[in-house]
Amino acid sequence: MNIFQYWPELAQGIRYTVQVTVLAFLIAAALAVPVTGLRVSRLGLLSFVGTCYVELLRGVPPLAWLFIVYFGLPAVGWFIEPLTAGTVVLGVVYSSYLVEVYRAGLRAIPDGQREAAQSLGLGRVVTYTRVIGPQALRTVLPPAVAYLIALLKDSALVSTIGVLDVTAQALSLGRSSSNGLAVFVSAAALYLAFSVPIGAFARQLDVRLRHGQKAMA
Amino acid sequence: MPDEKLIAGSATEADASSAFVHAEDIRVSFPGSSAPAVDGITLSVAQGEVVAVIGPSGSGKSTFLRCLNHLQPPTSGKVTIDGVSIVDRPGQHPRANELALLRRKVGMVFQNFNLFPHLTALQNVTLAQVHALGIDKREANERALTLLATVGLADRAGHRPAQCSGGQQQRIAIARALALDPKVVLFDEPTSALDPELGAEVLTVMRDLATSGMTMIVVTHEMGFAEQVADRVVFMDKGAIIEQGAPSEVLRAARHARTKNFLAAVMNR
Repeated sequence: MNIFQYWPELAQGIRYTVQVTVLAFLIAAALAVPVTGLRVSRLGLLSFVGTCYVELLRGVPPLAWLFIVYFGLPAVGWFIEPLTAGTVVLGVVYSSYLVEVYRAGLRAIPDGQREAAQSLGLGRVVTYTRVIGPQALRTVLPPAVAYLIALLKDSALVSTIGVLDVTAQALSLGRSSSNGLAVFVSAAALYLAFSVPIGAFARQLDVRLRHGQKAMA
Repeated sequence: MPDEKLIAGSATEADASSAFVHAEDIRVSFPGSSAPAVDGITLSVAQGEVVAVIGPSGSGKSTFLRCLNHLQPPTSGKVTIDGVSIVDRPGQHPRANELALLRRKVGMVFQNFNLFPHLTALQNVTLAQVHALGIDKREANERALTLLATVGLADRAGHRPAQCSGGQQQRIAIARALALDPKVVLFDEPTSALDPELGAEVLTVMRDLATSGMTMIVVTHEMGFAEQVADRVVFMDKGAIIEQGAPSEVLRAARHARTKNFLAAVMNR
């Protein structure tokens, strides 16, 4: 069994797998910022909206959201390209996970930091961009990278709506090939080729940041 | 209204107009706690005066101090510093821009330093100059270096807080507080987190600052500092001022039993 014989065809899907993963993650990372703002707001209504956003998105399987958007919205006259639908849905769903990561990052900052900023007359924006943000980033990065790996794996969901990613390529190869096992193991190996290095990077980052933070405490 | 207080307080009233820092009937109640943390404190501090606030833990000293720059919003009361007044009433609190005006006049030094760990000593001292006062970066750097030299840490400018000892960190924090050219500096137990040896170098800097004429309000357990440096010692217990006066009066000839008990406990350690 030569698992490498299927790589050329599977590799054609890499482009879409990587594109969906990277763009969806950027959407998630950006969208999670204002929603975290709502979530931690002291105004009850705003924090309620933030909580609803998070609970609604993470309480439903991403696949179900994908079907609602891709197969459901055309019923009300809204057609979306498979690639766009897949990227946006995964981005929005993952933003709800990142909100919790960001929130934990904010909570890890001692009150004294905010108080020091306040006592120095710094405004809210400067306090967040210069004092809280850079420190929160250190706690946020490792779990955020873990979600990047999860997103890489969940990007396979877009194969169900016709995006020709690695999984879609494997499906079509597997149907026509006599050796389905070799095809799907090859596809799995391709995912690992991305996720393992990212994971290693995340661990290294974690060790380095922890070390840095211990020295800061 | 317990306005009878004003009779005894008429002297305070007269003082209030000339006082540099004036706190009037400050009250703080925390939800879920029956006794108020600060129970109607009125205190006037003259320009250049150094006031040491002493008392047992939980007496409301720090809470009261934090009311002066509104890190702790009082439930009610009025704070005036160098002509800027902030009034709180239950359910009605000042706006952010009013507070910014007050805070610009007040420097604060914390028990746990609260330096920004991701910035160097120099950046800690320049941050507010650039972003709160709008001072040009080069000028801010120069001022920061001067201030670090004043606290004896010119050689630490490029170091992160974690690379400095506790005493050095607290001195950087003092330089940071002075960077805004405050009219008064509040110290919240500035040496409590330090070994006596390291605390001593911080106290030296504070002594110099007092000599330079800075108005200072210092919550402290350092009775030696209170006695030698303060112009006035205020003893607090259960959210109220029990007695106050010259250090020699309060520390050597306390009138109230509670003050005597506290001092006996502290001095005999």
